[in-house]
Amino acid sequence: MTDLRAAPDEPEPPAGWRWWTGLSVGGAIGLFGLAGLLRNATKTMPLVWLRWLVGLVLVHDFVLVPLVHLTGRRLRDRAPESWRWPLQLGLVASGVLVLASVPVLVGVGRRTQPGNASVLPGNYPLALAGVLTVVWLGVLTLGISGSTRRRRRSPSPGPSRGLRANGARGPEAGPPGRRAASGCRSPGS
Amino acid sequence: MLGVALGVLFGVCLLTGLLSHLIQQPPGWFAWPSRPVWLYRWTQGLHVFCGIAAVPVLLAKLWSVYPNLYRWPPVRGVAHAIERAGIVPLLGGTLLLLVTGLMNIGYWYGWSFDFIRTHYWTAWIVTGALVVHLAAKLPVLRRALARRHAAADGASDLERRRFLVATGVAAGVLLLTTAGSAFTPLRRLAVLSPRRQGVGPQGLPVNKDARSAGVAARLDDPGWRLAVGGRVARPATLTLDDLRSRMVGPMGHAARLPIACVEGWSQEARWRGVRLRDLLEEVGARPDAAVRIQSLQRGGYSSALLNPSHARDPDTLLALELNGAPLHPDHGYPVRLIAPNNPGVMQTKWLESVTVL
Repeated sequence: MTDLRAAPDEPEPPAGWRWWTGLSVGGAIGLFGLAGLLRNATKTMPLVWLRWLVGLVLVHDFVLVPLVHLTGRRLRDRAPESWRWPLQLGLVASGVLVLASVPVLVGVGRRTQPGNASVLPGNYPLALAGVLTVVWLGVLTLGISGSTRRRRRSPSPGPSRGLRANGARGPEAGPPGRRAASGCRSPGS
Repeated sequence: MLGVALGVLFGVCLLTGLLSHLIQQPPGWFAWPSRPVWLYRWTQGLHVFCGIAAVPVLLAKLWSVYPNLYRWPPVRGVAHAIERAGIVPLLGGTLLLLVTGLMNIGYWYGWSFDFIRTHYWTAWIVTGALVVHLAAKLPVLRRALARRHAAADGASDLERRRFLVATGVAAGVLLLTTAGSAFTPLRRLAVLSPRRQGVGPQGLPVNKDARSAGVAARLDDPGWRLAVGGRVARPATLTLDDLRSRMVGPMGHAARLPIACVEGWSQEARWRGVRLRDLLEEVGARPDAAVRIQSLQRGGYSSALLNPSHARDPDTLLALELNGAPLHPDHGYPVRLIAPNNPGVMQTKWLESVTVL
């Protein structure tokens, strides 16, 4: 049931010679990096660097991921079974595309070199809208073909939620909020 | 599975990044060859686009292990505490590499630190943390790989596969809409890329334009000369006409060579100019000498060191023309360096001098 948890339920704490060797080698490499960072402190600005590092971890752990898990849970609870997978696909792809496009959408780069028209030459909001339209057309196609297949397979009434009626939450119901979708969109959208 | 994919992507980024670093700041034992022409274009393209593909894979991996953050008790013994503490530099460092990397190729420098040095040293810290993490997770990794060959356990396996496919689709769409800035067959699809092939003066993107580089006012100076000197028998000072007359003579040469930017984009173009090798022979340089190329630009990237392999390559040019027309100011007018298998930042523009070392 813990399918997508990377670790099994109760992983043993690390032990054995492989762990201690890995720790020594990895620790040495990491310290080499840290020493380099500190040695070049006038360029790397370790305090600013640390603020970025911690800030990103906090934003990720306490804003982005809870949002993703909440979306995943709502998707599981509300979407018809045959639509869950296409919606999950669409939400993951959309969230990732939006996140990865933030630098081109914000467009600060154009101000970095005002005379250089080859920097960020596109109309990125429009382009992103186009790409997302294609993605969601794919989602729609998958969803419709999935529910049609399901209806054909089970001609009895009320088929789309039929699996839920079996008593269990359906074969795909795992722990809530585990798989999920990304980013800043609500599942119904 | 996600972990393995992430490991491969990170490994490619690390190796190609280290390579790029070595090429730009070569230690004594390292000499980057001028052939094959396309090699740097590929290694740096892999660096940037594997980094982009790693965004969804990393997020998927983190989302799937997120519940572990709240596992109770948080720490069971010293080894476990070390392992968990190591997650902070691993996670924070990787996020830092990817986020600042994505912003950097979008020319968004929202930080006060030096990107290259910080990216470089952070990569070492992440590598160390990754080795520690792998050592801790080795038994889990083994079990996971073994499970793949065992009978699939029905529903949860289907669910896992669907999640992987969603992640793969996200990575695929991201690559399809960006990688065309380097990979020509996909150029029309690169609608989300900060650069487009074919977009720029003379149909070629520009990394830094003449005005931003602070050289625009000096380009039309009638007193401009190219000084060719250093450890040579017959130093020379050449006017633009001197160079043009050499270009139409036996020293003239044309070559199709790519500009391969460290930011991942690359594009091939047709360059015409004077063979550097022939010019070096004219002034009486040693055949195994390295050469420093100096720009009118001041500050970062204003000069580049060419090793003997690049200096003597028959396609290394002091270029005066691009795609059949005189260089646009943003491409390095009056004359620029173009060499095969050379990072874009070392293809110095707006030349002032060539010094044989």
